[in-house]
Amino acid sequence: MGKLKVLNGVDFSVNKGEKVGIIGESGCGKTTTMKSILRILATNAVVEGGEIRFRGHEMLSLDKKKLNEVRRKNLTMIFQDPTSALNPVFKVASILGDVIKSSGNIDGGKVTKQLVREKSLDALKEVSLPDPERVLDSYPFQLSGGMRQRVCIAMSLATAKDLLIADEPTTNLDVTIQDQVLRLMKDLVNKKNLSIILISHALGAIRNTVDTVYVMYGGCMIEAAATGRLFSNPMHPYTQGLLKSVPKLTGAGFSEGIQGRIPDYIDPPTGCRFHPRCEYAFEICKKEKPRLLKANADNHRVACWLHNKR
Amino acid sequence: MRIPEIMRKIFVKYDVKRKWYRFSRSSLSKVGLVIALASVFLALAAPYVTPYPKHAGLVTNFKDKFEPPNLSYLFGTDELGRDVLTRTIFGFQYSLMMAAVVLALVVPLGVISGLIAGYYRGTWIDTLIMRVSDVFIAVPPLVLALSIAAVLTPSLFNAMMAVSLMWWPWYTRLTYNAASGLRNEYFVQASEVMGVSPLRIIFSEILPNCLGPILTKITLDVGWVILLGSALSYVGLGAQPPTPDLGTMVANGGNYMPDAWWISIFPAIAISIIILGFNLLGDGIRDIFVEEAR
Amino acid sequence: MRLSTYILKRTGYIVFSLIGLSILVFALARVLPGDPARMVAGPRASESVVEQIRKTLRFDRPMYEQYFYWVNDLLHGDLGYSLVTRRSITADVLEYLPTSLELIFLAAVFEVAGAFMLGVIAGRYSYKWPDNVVRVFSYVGISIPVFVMAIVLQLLFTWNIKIFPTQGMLSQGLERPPVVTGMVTLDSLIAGRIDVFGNVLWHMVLPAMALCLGGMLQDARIIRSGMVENKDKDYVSMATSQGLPERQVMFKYLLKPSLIPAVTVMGLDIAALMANAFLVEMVFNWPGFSKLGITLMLNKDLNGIVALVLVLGVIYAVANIVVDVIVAYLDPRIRLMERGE
Repeated sequence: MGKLKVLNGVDFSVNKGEKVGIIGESGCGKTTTMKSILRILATNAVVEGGEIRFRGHEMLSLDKKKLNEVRRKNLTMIFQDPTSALNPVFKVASILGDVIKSSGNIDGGKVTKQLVREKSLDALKEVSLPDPERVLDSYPFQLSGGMRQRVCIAMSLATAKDLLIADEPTTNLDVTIQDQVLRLMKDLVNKKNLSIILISHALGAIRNTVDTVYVMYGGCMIEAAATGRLFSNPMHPYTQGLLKSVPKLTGAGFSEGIQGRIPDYIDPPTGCRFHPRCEYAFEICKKEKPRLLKANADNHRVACWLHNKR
Repeated sequence: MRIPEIMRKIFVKYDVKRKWYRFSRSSLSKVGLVIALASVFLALAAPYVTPYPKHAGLVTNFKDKFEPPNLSYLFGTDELGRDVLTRTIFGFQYSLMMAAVVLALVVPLGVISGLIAGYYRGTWIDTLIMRVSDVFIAVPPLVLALSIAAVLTPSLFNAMMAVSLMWWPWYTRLTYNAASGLRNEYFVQASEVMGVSPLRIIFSEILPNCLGPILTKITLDVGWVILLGSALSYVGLGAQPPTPDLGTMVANGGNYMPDAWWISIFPAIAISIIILGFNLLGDGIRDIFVEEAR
Repeated sequence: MRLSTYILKRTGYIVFSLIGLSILVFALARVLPGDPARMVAGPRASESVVEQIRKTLRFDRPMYEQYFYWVNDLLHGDLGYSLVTRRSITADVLEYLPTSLELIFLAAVFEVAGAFMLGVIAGRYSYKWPDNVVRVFSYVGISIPVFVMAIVLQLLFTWNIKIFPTQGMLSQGLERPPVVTGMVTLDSLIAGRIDVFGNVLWHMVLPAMALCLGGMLQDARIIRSGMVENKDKDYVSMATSQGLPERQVMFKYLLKPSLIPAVTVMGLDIAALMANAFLVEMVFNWPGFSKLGITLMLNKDLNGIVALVLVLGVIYAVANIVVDVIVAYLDPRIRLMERGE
């Protein structure tokens, strides 16, 4: 078998109050990056280098106690599949209650069962769940998919946080629910003045929700720009291909895909990982990995030898 | 040459190469295979590989009694001067024979009844067969075997009968679970619609898909039957002296503990190793079929 | 459905099986050659005595009538008349069974506690040395027959290293306390005899260990597998990402789902404990139902065997129900999904 070298130098940042989106196809390393931040990677995964800074903390070298503190007070994550994210043998009240209890800051007073339950109900009401009492006393498998995801959102935002990481929160939901949940998230983010990293491969969702967009491919960021700018003026060949492959309702025939497949992570391509599929590739693309640098004014960055000055 | 042709056909039809790959990924399974094969070999070749074949029967050799393990008697001798090593190896014969006989009786009966119950699931046939087998499962296995053996005259044959009688329902249940799951699959319904007779459906469509758990269980059961058989012998309800049955030898040696410990301990270790071997082998066989289920 | 409904359903099912078992055992005992009345009377009794016995014990009635009377007696607590010990089987059972039960109980406690500890440690340090040790030993543990285990333990810890007593239940000079429950440990506590209590426990440790070691290792391995499998599941990541303390994540969120397959196996193990107790008692000369059973078997006391098997069957059934209930408590999906599935 072998080692999967998934991440290949990921460069990105989020400012306070900023809404950042990450797009990329399945398998490009989005979830892995996010899990690295919270350090919840699988037991056989290793971060080999680099650093992750959060509000002055260097996440990768933080000790366990501090790490948990950061997880409780500052960061939170919503997972892709709400069904597997909720422990099937515990009631919602139990899971939600534990999170609230552990954050310890229930308005300074004593932590009583009553208080925890009240706070739990408040959290559920905030995500517009009908009949929150019943939901609280149910097991996850008794709830529908949309409700489960709302429960997860409630759990993440039950206590005050700085940054919300949402990993494809609507991908596993029915199409009719997707929009609702997304809008709910946007409202909550605005209301609580959170920063958010939204991961999705649904371009429409990204476009409507975030201010800045990063495009990820083969384990690294290949383009970054303000939302409007990225969609109107994509610079990286991959981004261009991606946007062209979205079918348009205004009738332009079939959309084209991008030829080739995602890289093999055991033996990835040298240099720029996109070069085997790129129609513009030249010699240097095979040898050296381009860095994410400003292409022109206005904070539009690209990692591509077409635009990087040599 | 005709023979390699046949071999090649078998290899292809049953995908032997891939199954061997899956099996051999665990070295423990290979160890199990070696032990199992060695046991069978010893059992078959006992009269030819043991140093004192006559000691397996009714022989007395009082001048050498209670010899501790030494160069001429590797496992020592018992109270009648018989070589423990020889008798242990002959003991393999009886243990494996018991396993073979019991399984030969039990597996066809159990599997067929399970298939029928599974195919006719939900009808009176199902209820009848399963309720009958439930009765046997209601009591701890050893207790049931002991009681059946107890009402019969103690002998190896009767012990085999007792074990067989209480063992078959486990196969029924196993096969029933597998078969009733498959019963409603589309490929079965397709055959029914085409008018294929139930008998053919059961044997050519359902059965092959149940083979995985069944084969695994058969292998593991060799170990269990030997365990049960030796327990029965230990209590005195199985093979009687002077037959060199492993359980009987352990029981007999108990009288001379702790001084002549070798009389009990070597047969005891032998039983454990055989069972260990078949357990590991059974795990390996399970590995072959696990991946197919995905 | 609610937990209580589930229990009722399972109980009904088991009662049904027991009825079938009683018919089977009864038929088996009666089908064999030999004249039961003669066996009771003994070879020297006269014909008229035999005839009288036949009438009293109803051997002359048709089979179904015998069965009916037999069940009736059973329900009144009368297990029949032993052909060998010449007294009521109920009395025999009450004398010998409780001591077996206390041994089995101690073994069960050891097994669950041990499996828990070993399994959690192996799961926590998976793929490192504690885990490998547990895994290897579990294979060995399943393969060694119980009586071999008992003999080896006896050899090592009573002969070679004299920590525990070789045989029996009480040391010389000590007497059984007055019978209240039949279990010597409880009785000695009730009678206030701590010395007897301690002595009995000392005698119980080794047989109990012999009984439970195999099962303990097997259960530990299953708990370990469950934990390793579930460690990378999303709901564990979710809990960790919320910053919950590691201990809580492990013992609450990881353990509960991992226990479910283990508890199921432990239920089967209880059956094994009961049967294996028979053999262990023989090795250690512990005065339990094995003593009774062997006498019955070697003397072909059919009544006795039948009654004993049935009693054990009932105990086994009750134990199974308890286990089923525990599993249903641990995994709500089982009881709540039975309706539609």
